[in-house]
Amino acid sequence: MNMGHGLSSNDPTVTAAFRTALVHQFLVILFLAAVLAIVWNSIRTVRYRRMVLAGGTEPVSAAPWPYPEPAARRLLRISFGLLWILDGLLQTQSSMPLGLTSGVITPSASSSPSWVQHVVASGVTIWNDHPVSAAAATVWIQLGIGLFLLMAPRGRWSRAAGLVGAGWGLVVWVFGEGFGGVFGQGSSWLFGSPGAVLFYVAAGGLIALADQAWETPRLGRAVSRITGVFFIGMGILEAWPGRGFWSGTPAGGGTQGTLTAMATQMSQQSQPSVTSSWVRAFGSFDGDHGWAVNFVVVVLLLGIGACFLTARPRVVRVGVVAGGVLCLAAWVLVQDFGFLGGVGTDPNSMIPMALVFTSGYLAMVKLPVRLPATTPAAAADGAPEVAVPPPGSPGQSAPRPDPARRGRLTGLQPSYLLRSLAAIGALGVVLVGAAPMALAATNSTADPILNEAVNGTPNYVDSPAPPFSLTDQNGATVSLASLAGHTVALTFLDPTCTSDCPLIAQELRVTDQLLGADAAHVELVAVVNNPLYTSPAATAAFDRQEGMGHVPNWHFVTGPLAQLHQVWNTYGVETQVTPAGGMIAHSDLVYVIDGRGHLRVVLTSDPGSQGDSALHSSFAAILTSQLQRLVHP
Amino acid sequence: MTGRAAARLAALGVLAVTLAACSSSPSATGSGTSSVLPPAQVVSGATGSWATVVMGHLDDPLNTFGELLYRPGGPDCLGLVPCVPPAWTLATPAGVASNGGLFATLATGGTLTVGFGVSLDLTFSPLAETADQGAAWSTGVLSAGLVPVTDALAASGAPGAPARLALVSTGGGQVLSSSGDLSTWAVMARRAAVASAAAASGCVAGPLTAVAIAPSGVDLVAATCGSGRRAGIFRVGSGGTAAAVTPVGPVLPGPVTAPVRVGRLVTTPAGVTALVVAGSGRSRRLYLATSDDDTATWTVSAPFATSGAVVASSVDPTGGMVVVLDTGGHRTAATAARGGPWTTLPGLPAGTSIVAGGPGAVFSALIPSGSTVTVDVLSGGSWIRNQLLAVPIQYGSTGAGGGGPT
Repeated sequence: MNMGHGLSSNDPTVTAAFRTALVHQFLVILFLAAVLAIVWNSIRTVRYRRMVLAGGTEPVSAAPWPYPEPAARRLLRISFGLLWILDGLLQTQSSMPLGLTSGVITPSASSSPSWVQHVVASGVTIWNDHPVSAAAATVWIQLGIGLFLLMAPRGRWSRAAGLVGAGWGLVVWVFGEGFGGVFGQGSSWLFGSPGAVLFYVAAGGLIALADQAWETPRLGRAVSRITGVFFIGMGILEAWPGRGFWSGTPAGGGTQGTLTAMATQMSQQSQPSVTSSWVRAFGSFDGDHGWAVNFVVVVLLLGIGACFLTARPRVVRVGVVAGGVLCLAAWVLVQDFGFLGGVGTDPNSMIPMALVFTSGYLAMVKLPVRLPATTPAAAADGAPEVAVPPPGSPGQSAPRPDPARRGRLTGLQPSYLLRSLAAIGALGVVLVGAAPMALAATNSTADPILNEAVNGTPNYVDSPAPPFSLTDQNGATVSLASLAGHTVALTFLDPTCTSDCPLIAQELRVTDQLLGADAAHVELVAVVNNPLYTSPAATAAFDRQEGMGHVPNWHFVTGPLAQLHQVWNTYGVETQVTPAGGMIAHSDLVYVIDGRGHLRVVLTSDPGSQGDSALHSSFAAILTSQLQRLVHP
Repeated sequence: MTGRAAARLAALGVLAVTLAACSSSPSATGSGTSSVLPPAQVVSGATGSWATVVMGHLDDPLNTFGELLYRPGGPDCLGLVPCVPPAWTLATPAGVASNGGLFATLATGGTLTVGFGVSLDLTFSPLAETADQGAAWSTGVLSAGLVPVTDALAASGAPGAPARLALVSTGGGQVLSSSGDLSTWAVMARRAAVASAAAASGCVAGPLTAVAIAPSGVDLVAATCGSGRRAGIFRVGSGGTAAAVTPVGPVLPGPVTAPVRVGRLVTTPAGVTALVVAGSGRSRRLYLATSDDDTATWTVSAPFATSGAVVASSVDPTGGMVVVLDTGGHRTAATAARGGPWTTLPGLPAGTSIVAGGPGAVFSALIPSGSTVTVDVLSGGSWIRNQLLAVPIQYGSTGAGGGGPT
């Protein structure tokens, strides 16, 4: 896989930077955990002293929630907590920084309408400009959400965890999945439509509901009916003619059916041979019996949808079982577990979908049972502590003391306090990832690491720069001596070049903008590097083409061929005339010369491919920093 | 909102999503970096013939190259039977990537001017000129890109006293002129001026399609006419205003179907030759119009009916022409001598790009494929393999990054 600028998705420079970022952020999280542990210990100490001072009363819980966490909610919270953690761990794969957009996001949006592609492209641009920050952020955000869900079982913290999960899920669904591909051609329930993360969003939304919502079967029935409509809709879509799902592989070869082609493609990605063989076998079976396979899928989808639509527990139970089996089969045989291949980001749609409709069923049939006012079971859920005097004591008939009067933290039952702190810690993990990403997103200049991965790190030198004296596009003589006192970026460009040189010129123009006021102390000089097109007319045409006439400190210099040869030789620039319509081949170098006329930095300036704006921006950022380092020694 | 209402609302949403998925339109795909390349052509003079062909990996714009081939003049067959004409050699001028194709014009004095088509980030056309059959080249630039038509460049005069015209894409079509340095050009006429003059003669002018310099030095520009029977050829006087533009094109004989497009406008030692294409599809007719008195009078051939589009053409020194026609991927060739009727050549070898030669001379079919050009000559009514020319194309030399050529 290649991003187009010569960087493979496993480029060692970027991968190493990604690992380093993860380690650094992990250390920050460890520090955060240590602080929270100290807080926890301090509060417990204060509590213990107060308890001793108060005569050693035993803390007994008073249940603030009249029933334990409903089974349906618990299923959603714990399972999606684990799924978010799995997704976070999948994001640590080394190919994520450079491979996610080119290998997953852009291809998945490629069949969608242009407006979807534009929306997705805005997110892709941020990721491509800051691949290390973005990939590391995604790891911690998703791990944090998972921990948040697991650590906060009840109350506001728990509902907030659901909301955070739903919010991030929406971001991923829009920018990462291109709206789940629902607007694209070839979308299918089998392939993951309407997007796996949409089920994370649904789960987050359900977890964020108020407690009262779980007290009656209405929520379960609503989920069941929505599931029913969804399955029927997907069944209709699967049955829609002309989308290639009714055909397998025509006898004698030819274009494969859509499902056969997908299975073939999935079986070819990097994975254990056993899973590959399953998927390949199914693809082969579908190739032979495409119509029958699709017929069965359509019938099952419609039948399961009808079961859910009734919202009757007994019938829905049949739908849950059948849906679960169908989901499992599709997950293994079509979606190939979803997360294999090196850039898999989640287990795809089947597992989260099955969890959502199963929880809907539980919300219908397993309603919470109200508990007595005080019970250890409730304490296990994390109830606030209430000090209850021993039986027969004078204070027994007194009203319950308000925990808030004893301090918001020190008045809490220990397990509740611990879970609250853990939830804060999990939220901290989210912020550890989100904060650097938010900062990076506000910076329109790409990370220097991209250019360093292609061109290497700057080469620092300190020697007198070879002199030159040539003529710029305005007819003025430009020499090393005439530039004394200014920091100079010196490069070599072919005015009739069709690719790299125009890109390098644009990088220099962006550098000039990034320099801001410092541009007054910098001169950008390009020496003609084509032995056949050396005229000022050629440099003028290049300047017009690239809009360099608006850059006041820009000089595109030329001169007699002998003089140019001398400059090329003294600066070690190789030039080769290629036959049969090839471009002039020459070195892509930028020399940074200080105000004393000393060479200080040599940068390789290969701009990569035409469309790689991130790499171009990255080079401009590096050159700007090197120039500013010399402007402000 | 009640649970039932919420369920209905959600159901509507799911249905909407499903329907949207059913009716989604195909995605917009990127257009890539390809540009329209000028058609293949052959220009011939006393010193020899020059052919431009497109070759390489034609499905990849970055690895598609325009190449210039040269065949010395002289007796075609060297007295040999079967006829063995002189060999073609590679003559592409160096220094510029030719992914945008090549334009070529041969002045009556023997000077060849070559223009490079725009490609990738190059938006102006570099030029190269030789007066010694490619031994040495001088270079220059146009300030804009040449329009991708065969006769976007024209030149006349002997070395040292050049006159040149260029048809560039700026402003929807402009004619530039140069009488000195290859990089010194001035605007001579704009499309609006030509259109205004054309309207007065009943021609609703479309795009400008060719430029030429008549033997007397009169500047000519051609345009497509959306109506009328007259071919859109105009003299352009000094100033280039509408008043200085005069219609001089021939009136086509018989019933004529619009549009009338001047596909070629070339000056040879024998005068001015124009290929006029009237109509389109099955109603397409070709006319060869020649003038030996500076466009005062024209001789127009009888129409040649064809449904094929003209994809390449060659002009011989006498003003005769060979055209290659493409009908749904099937290629044929037709030829007409100056003042003579059109005749069809025997079926072309597969992959033929251009046919050089003309009435009275041996016909050579140039067949580029990858990095080689095969030359077949017409002998005894069939095409015989004559030459295999290897072209050292530098694949990957354009836009590949990775420290390669720039």
